[in-house]
This record gives sequence, structure tokens and C-alpha cells, in this order.
Amino acid sequence: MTTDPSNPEVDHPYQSPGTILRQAREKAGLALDDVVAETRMTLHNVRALESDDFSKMHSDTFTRGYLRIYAKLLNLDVESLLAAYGRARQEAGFAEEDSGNSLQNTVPAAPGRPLWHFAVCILALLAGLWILSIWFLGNDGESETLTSESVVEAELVASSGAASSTPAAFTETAELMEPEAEVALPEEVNAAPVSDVTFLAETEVLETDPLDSLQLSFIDECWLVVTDAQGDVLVTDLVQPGRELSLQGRAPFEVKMGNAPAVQLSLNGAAFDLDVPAGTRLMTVSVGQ
Amino acid sequence: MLKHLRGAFSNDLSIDLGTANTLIYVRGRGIVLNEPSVVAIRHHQGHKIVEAVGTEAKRMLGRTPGNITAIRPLKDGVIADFQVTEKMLQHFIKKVHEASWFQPSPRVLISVPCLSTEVEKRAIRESAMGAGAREVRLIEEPMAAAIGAGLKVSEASGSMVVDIGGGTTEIAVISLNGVVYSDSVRIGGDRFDEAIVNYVRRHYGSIIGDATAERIKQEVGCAYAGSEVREIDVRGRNLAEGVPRSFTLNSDEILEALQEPLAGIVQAVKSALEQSPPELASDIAESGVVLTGGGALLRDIDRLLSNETGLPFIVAEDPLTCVARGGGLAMEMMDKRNIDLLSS
Repeated sequence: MTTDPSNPEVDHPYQSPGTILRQAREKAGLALDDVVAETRMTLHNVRALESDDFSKMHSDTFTRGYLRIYAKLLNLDVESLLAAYGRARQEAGFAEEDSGNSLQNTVPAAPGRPLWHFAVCILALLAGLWILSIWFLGNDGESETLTSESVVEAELVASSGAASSTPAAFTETAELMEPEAEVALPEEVNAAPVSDVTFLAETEVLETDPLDSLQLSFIDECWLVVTDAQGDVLVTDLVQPGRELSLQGRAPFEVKMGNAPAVQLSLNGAAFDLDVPAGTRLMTVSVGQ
Repeated sequence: MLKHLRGAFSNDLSIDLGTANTLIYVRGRGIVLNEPSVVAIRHHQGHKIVEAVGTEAKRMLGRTPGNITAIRPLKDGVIADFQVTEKMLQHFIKKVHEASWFQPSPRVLISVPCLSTEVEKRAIRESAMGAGAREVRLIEEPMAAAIGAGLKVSEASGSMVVDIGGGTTEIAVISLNGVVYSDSVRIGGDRFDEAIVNYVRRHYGSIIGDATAERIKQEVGCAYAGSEVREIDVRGRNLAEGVPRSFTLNSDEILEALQEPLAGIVQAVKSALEQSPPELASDIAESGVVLTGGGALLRDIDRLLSNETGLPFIVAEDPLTCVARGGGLAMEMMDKRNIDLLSS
């Protein structure tokens, strides 16, 4: 492309493209026929260009093409000439019927998306969140139920275990029993109904499983080991004088005492005579055989 | 069903599936993708893995190790490798819908060479469907080019368009939204590059790659003898010495190199003019011929054709994107006015 940006005719902002072309052609000493011979445009089209009569052209594409060819022939700046043509079209009030096909469509516009796309996306998102929240809430309810059940189950296991094997099961006296029962309450579960359920379960277990009761009272310090018929060790302790123990388990109980004369035994309320030989302190007896 | 749902979130695309470049036009957004039709394939334990597509893959052309092959899946305007074309289209469609949350399933209009066989058209259609399109329409390339160039194709007046692409040159006379005459010759930008490579080997005893030949064509190439002479420094491997050598080429030499393919195009254009109905030939003589496609950017090709035929040849604005833009506009026209512009 041959350009001549210094050309004053083209730079003039108010000159029409036809005037620019005619003046440049006359300056170059070319006749219209010479232009026709060189560019292969028809005389009719060359005249139309010089007279700014663009309505006679086949389409805007051709007009722009002809202007380029003519500008190259006359060594004019093509872009300036096309800019002048654009202004002339605007002034003439040409409808932009060709704008759909024009270069502006080649420039990537900002990535626009129909508004309804966003609306649908947001609605879908909200619906998704709603479903998720419902699902989570449903799961939470389920987990709460499970927790209550598991607490009950845990209590049942603990209580049955306590009743059978662990030292925690032994109830010393009424005043000792109360704190023990409080400890046995599930501290994490504050809800009253759950605690009730736990108590009921424990009571049920104790009631449905009648055990033998062994009472021991001590007048002196005594080391003691009590094992029931199932082999569970109910107590192993150094018991202080004045204390009374009440043990639950299956008879017969094997009672090993470090200081037998200091111990008084009774099974299910009936006194059990130890018959300690004189001078004997360590003694093992079987109670309830 | 799912494709239609996804389609609600996809844009309508017009694809110019060219031998050299693939362009995608999106309604309301213009040209959004212009990348070379090149795919780099890595061969790994008997499997083919797509390594790169488009610009990145083109940079690999001629520079790949043994296990990577950079290939052009289209040859002479039609699909040469079906699977690779599908992968390439899939990649491009996905790239255009990067902002989308859903897998795209767009309606697609693809331009095809006017002398494509049914098998070739079916290959393109199925390739696009395989790439995720929910509906594929085909349009003849010169028709899309004419619409993209801004010709009034719907009028009862003949318009002639010459689309010089990478693989083929399409020539068509159009009137009343239809193609009256069309021809396609397998000469295009690739043949120009090939001719330059051959010329350099013959006259300089050196081998240059396709990418270098393309650069020479773009920078100093010309089609007309009276054009301004330009020069370029080129490095190629000397055949005799086996080492790289530097030499200078000028535009006259390139003109000489391009004589054969240019003569083929001129001949095809003359043939089209000869076979045009007289009324339409008269319209064309009055208005002229429009050049589109990347080949139209070859310096002074309009002057060459003008001198050879005696008609004014004008280069369309932004000739590279005419087909893709025209396809997009054709889609809009078809939707709005129910006009059939499609390839049969």
C-alpha cells in the first residue's frame, strides 16, 4: 500500500472524498480515461466517486474497495480517504444497512451473555442451596436421634457392666449411692428426656436381673476382696473401720479378708457366722453356698 | 435432551474450518477465536495424547521430538484426519465457552468448500457432532465469504467472490441468495509456501521450513511485476555443506516462485467468468470482483487479477475473517427471515 500521509488534501478535515480524489487526479495530470484504464473501474463509477454520489454504487463494500484502488493509483493515504468517506456518509444520512457486515463485527466485543442466562443460573443456585439445606437439616435430625439412641445404648452397656463387673457398681451406703448415681448421669446430654430414658433403662436392667446382696460391716481396718459366682471381682480395697458395704452379685460370694475378726457379714439380710478361729486374721470364706 | 439443556447455555457458533486457520464467530461477540488448524499429538505406549492445539501446536511444527507429531488435520479444505479434527474442534469449542459453567453444546454452522463430496461433508458434520455440537449446519464457503464481505447476496444482481484460503481457492457467482456458479481449485496459501520452499531449494541449494516460507510470503511476497521490491534475510540448511546458511531473497524472486500457483488461480477465475450467465457477467463487469481469504493479503494480487481479466478486483475489509463473519450473519439471516443459505 502506497501512502502519503503528508498530502495536505487528504488531511483537510472538511473535504469530501470526491473532491480529494478529483484534486489529486488533476494534480497528477490524469484524465478520467486514464483512471479507468489503470483501475479497470467503469467510467460511470469513477465519476460517481468524484461527485460523491455513492448511492449509485453497488454496495458499501465496493465503494470502499474502489476508493482504495483509486487512492493507491494517486498515492493518497487510504485510511484518511476512507475516514473522509465515512464522514460523507454520515453527513448524507446513509442508513447503516451494511454495518452488520462491516469490520466492527470482527473486533471481539466484551463477552456478553443474555441476562436470562444469569437469572436462570442464580435461580438454579438458590434451588441447589435450598435442597442442600433441607438435606443437611434432615441429616441433623437423623443424627440427633441417633445420638439419643446411642446414649441410651451406651448407658445400657455401662449400667449392665457396672452391675456385673466394675467397682463402680458397688453401692456403699445411701449417701454414697446418690453421688454415684449423679456421676452415672450422662453429663454431655443435658436434655431432660434423655436423662429420664437413661434412668429408666438402668432401673429396668436392675429390676429384671435380681441379684444376691452381700452386706459387710467393719469394726476395724480390713483388706477385702470379694468375688461372686461368675468370677467377677466386686471389690478389692482396704476398708476403713465403721464402714458398711452392700454388694450385688451372684451367690456364692468368695470373701477374702485380711482382718477377719473385724468383719460382720450378712447375705440377703440374713447374718452369716464367720466362726473365726482364735488367732486367725487372714481368712477366706464362701458365702451363700 | 441433556444436549438441549446445555445448549441453552451455549452460543451459536460460525466456524471457518480452514486448512491453515480455524476461526470462530459468536453471535453478538464477533470473532472470538483465530488459531492455526494444527494439533500436536504425543505418542505414548501406543496411545495418542493431544499435546497442544492451535497457536501452541503451530510453534511445534517442524520442531518436535520423535514421540510428538504436529499435524494439520485438514488438507485441501477437507478433513484428512477425522479423529484429530474432532479433538481440535472440541478444544476450540471449549475455549470459546471458557466462561460457561456447563459443558457447551452449541448450534454450529461450518463452511465447506463448494465442491466437497457428500462423504467429506458428512465427515465434517460428524466431527462437529462428536466435538459436542447439538446441531450442525453447513454453508458453502464462497456464500459465507460473500455475506461476510458485505455483498448484497439477496439481490437479483450477480456478485462474484474469490476466496483464496490455505488449501483451496473458491470462486462463486452469487445471485438471489444462491450460488449460480462455483468452482474450487486446490491452490491456496499452502501451495504458495510450497512453491517458495521449492524455489529456495532450486536456486539457493538450501532447505527452509514451511513456517519460514510463510514468513517470506507475508513479508516480501507479491503477485504483480510492477510492485515495490522488498528484501528479506533468510536462514536455511545448505544441502551441499549441511550447515545453516544465510541468504537474502527479494520480492521479484518470490513473484517468480509463485508464478505457477498464481497462474492456476487466474485460470480458474477466467474460467468462472467464461461460464457465468451473460446477465450476471454484465453485473460483475460493472461492479467488480471481491477477494477474500488469507490469500487476498498477498501484495498486489488484486492488481494481477485485474490486469489479467480487465475487471476491478477489490480486497474485502479484513479478508481473513470474512467466511467466519459471513457464516454468523447467515445464521442470523436464516433465523430472522427463514432464508435457506445452506449447502445442499
